[in-house]
Amino acid sequence: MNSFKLTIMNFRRDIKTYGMYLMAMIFSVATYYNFVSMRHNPQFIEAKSISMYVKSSSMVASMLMILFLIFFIMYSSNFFLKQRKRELGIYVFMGIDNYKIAFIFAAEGLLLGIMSLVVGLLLGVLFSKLFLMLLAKAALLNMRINFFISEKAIIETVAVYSVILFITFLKGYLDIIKTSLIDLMNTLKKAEELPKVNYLKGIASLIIIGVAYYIAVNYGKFGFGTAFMLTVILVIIGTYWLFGSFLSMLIRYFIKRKDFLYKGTNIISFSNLAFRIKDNYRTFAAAAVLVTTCITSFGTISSLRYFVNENHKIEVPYTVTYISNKQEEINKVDEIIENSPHKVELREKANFLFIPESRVIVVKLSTFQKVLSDLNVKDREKVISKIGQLGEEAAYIEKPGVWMSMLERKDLKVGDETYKIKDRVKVPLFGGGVPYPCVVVNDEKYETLKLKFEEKQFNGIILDNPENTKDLTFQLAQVLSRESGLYTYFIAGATMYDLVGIVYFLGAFLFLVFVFATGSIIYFKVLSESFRDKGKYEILRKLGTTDLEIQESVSKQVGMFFLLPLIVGIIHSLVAISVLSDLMKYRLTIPTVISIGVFIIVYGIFYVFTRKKYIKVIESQA
Amino acid sequence: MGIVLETKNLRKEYGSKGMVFAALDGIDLKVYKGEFLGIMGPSGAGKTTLLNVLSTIDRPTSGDICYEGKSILTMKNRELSIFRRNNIGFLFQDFNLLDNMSVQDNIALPLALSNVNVKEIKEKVGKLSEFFGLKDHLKKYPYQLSGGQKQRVAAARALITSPSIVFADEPTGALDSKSSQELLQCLLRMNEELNATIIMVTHDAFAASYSKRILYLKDGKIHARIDKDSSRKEFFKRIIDFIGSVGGGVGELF
Repeated sequence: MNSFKLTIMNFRRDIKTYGMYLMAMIFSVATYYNFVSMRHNPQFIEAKSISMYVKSSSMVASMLMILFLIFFIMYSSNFFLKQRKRELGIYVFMGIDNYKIAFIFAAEGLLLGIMSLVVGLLLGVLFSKLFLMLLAKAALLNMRINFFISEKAIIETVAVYSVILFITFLKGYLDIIKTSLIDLMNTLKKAEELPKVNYLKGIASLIIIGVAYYIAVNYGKFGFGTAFMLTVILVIIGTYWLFGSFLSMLIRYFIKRKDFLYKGTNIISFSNLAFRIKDNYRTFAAAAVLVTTCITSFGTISSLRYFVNENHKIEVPYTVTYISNKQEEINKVDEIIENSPHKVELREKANFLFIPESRVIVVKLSTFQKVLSDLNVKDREKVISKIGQLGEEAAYIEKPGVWMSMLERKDLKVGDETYKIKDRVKVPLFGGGVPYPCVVVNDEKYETLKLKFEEKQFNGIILDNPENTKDLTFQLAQVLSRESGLYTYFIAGATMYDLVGIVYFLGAFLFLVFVFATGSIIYFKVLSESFRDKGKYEILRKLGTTDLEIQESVSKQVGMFFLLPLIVGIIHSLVAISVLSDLMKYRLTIPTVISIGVFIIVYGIFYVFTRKKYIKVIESQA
Repeated sequence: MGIVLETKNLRKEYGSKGMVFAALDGIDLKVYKGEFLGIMGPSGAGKTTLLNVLSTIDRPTSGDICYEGKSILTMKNRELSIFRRNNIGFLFQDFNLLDNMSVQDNIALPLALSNVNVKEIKEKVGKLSEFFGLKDHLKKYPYQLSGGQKQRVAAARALITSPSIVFADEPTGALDSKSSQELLQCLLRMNEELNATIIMVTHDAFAASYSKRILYLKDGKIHARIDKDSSRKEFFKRIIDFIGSVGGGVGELF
């Protein structure tokens, strides 16, 4: 038998064993291809307004995928190597030299990689239309997506994967050449020893995480950038120590508490955990950090989308707005609208003053209240009562399009007078057609100001079917003068919203990829545990442990692997999200619940699979 | 004295039609309470098979096994596991201790799995560890113990449920001669002081001489029976003589 045949033979057998790895690889290849093909899609390139965004977000997403892949492939090939060192040792015994063995094993990995590349590409091409259709939907693009195979994307995917695979091949090859026979024979036989507990580190981990939380919550004191960096570093260190030392302490405590330990299968699960923590804590910590990153990023992206939606309401409260008090123009507009297929749902007329030197507009309180109730603004009563009756003071309404105001001025000069600002609010008023902040003053003040400044008339119309206002916009633009500042739903549409849609979609997709990634990392770890635990469960069975009890103990042990990182990750991200929502002045409950829910569901599925596989391994004959 | 274990025409066959090989061929056996029974025989005689079948780890092809008059062959897997846990103690050649549990936890394991009251478990662990001289090692882990100590831990674990029978499969197989002797003394004390019923499978005539009765197995049948009537030394001699007379495989006995 030559070494190539041996490789093929091993490969055939391993397809079953490492099905999970293959699936993850295929999924990642397919995803990578789609991320790349997005920027080569002629339809997206033609759509000038979005091609920039598509390009840059596709770049970022594919970069992240590459980073993940390098980590994932390295991690899993290490796992495979460890798993099979004994087998390697037998080959060495049989007199095959290290170079040949190294080749056999590395080639096997290469073969697995090539196979996942081919299958992944096929699937990627097959699903690319679906992917882009989803993308277009998320980005609110009105386009029909055609089936399209991007040669460039295929070449790029193949190139990137080949490089990664070749490097892993080389690394595996060198690793095996370097190992000696005695190491190979003894890998699985090594007697396990109870790891020592570092109490100092254990306690320190809690303090570090506490400090990190404190810094995060008080980001104002430290400056956002510094607080962010510090928190990330401290949380990572704290999490590693938490799992490395504090968890050992905790388990040790439970093992000492015999009234807890001697309750059914606890004795099996906890003893096992205590011994393995040294080998496993890195996986726990990495998974916890990944969970945190995923939930927090998803929360960020969701908040972004929410803001864009909110902003859209503030920026485009009407379908058509223009500024004019010439009856002639107003009639013409009404005529055009009447002849269009749209129905009028609301007509709004309001007067305001424009103050050129301060670049603000002024409306009187009664107008403000009327517009708010006409537009049916959510929480308008709250806003109105908060502003109340304005005396010497004024209320300040943010300019449409501002997301967060970092500068908070206490007073404002209008003409010769300075007004104290009583309250600042973000509500829809005139929309993006009047792109200035607005000052609300009481009606008497307004009358005095009116003597000095020119009064203008704002006209806003809400129509049904605001999405199809392209033709209407062009017709209106012909009859209205330049000064009228025509602004319609159509004009507002082609700006930020596409970008955010794309970012949201890709973010959600990457989120899924990472959830799967953490799941499979844990899966591999648990699987390697199962091989080591086989003997233990055989003993237990001989001693009269029922199958049910064995399954129960496996459930606990495997469950711990998924639950512990998830719990820590969720706690971390809840803190991060609370800071984020404080920063954004918006409650992020829904995206947080969604992302945690997705994690729990995906992890639940992984848990069921992993547990099943684990039981299969320990039940199989040695 | 009551009968603890009784078998009737016990058969265990391996292989499929045409090529049937009977590892056990009609074994009738009665084990009385407080007995110390040795099972000997050359390789392939069916010693381990007999032990596995008697200890409910394996099922016979035909025949019946009764513990205290009750047949165990009608039990389902789960029942059988629990029966095994509560009524049978084990000593294996390679100890079969769980590496990741302290001595204390290893001994307590069968009771812990049965959710016995913690105070009671602790009491029993204390008593048995004293009996086996393990008091100072309770907090240690198996990797910190010598072979003899490990086997004594296993013995304590085997006795913690106060089983009807303790099965010992080549318990001295992995021990040096000094530890072997110590362990056999332990078994003897278990038998005499705690009135434990013991069935021990062994190759070793010296080990066998500690028992009170020996069944000599050959080709799946009980070939002979040797009863101890005088001192252990005398008994040992008779065993050696018997093996010599049976002939064949003497070399492998030592």
